[in-house]
Amino acid sequence: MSRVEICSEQDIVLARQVARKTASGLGFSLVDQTRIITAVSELARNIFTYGIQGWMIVQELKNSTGVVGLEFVFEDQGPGIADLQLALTAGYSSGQGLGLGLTGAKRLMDEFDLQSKLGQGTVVRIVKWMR
Amino acid sequence: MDKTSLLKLGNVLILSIEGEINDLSVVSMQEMLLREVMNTSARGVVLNISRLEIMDSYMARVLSDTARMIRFMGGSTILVGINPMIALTMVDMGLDIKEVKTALNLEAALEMMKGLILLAKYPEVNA
Repeated sequence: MSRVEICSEQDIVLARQVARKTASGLGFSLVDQTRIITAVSELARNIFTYGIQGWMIVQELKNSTGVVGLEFVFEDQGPGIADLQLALTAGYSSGQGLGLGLTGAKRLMDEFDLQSKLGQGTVVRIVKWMR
Repeated sequence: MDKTSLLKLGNVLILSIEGEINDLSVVSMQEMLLREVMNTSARGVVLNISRLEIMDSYMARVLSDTARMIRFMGGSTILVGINPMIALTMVDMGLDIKEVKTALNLEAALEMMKGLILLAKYPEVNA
């Protein structure tokens, strides 16, 4: 398990490096590594852009049948998301992005879970299982 | 920390973007490139991303914006070197870079650029 604090542009790069190292260490294919790093990049940037500061926690998982997975949890104590459904609509952005950050990360991973409370913060959990 | 390199070949600028570039550097790269287009009177820009680690929605947006800015300045832009992993990921995410023409490698890009520059010079050829 490792933790990356996210409060600058360079921390987004650091989060990607940690994701790359962990995913390749576990033996994910190059395509899945690229999917994972891209999703991590989107969610780490969301923390920096909307949550101002927060952190990413990386953890290796194993399910009941022994399949290995990689879990990332992104947490911030920023303003939170007012309308979760809207935030998960492809093409919608409250910022300056393409509106594909959250939906993109969701499409790239096997599991995606978003929880947010206004004024309290946001937690996004993503998992990729090894094929 | 040199994350980009710029080459001039005739009236074409070739910008290569390297692996682990951060968001701030991407923006300063964009400004530097537009200045160079102005200063060198370049007619075309080839953006080589074959050594880019990933393409996320931010990078896609900056590349697309940059191509549009270069078009406003009278130039053409070709994106080159999208590897299979990045192509797969972009389709998974639903990312597209509509403003930009793409080529498989530098050689193909330079060949295509000749045509684009000619077309910009004699637009009636297209009619």
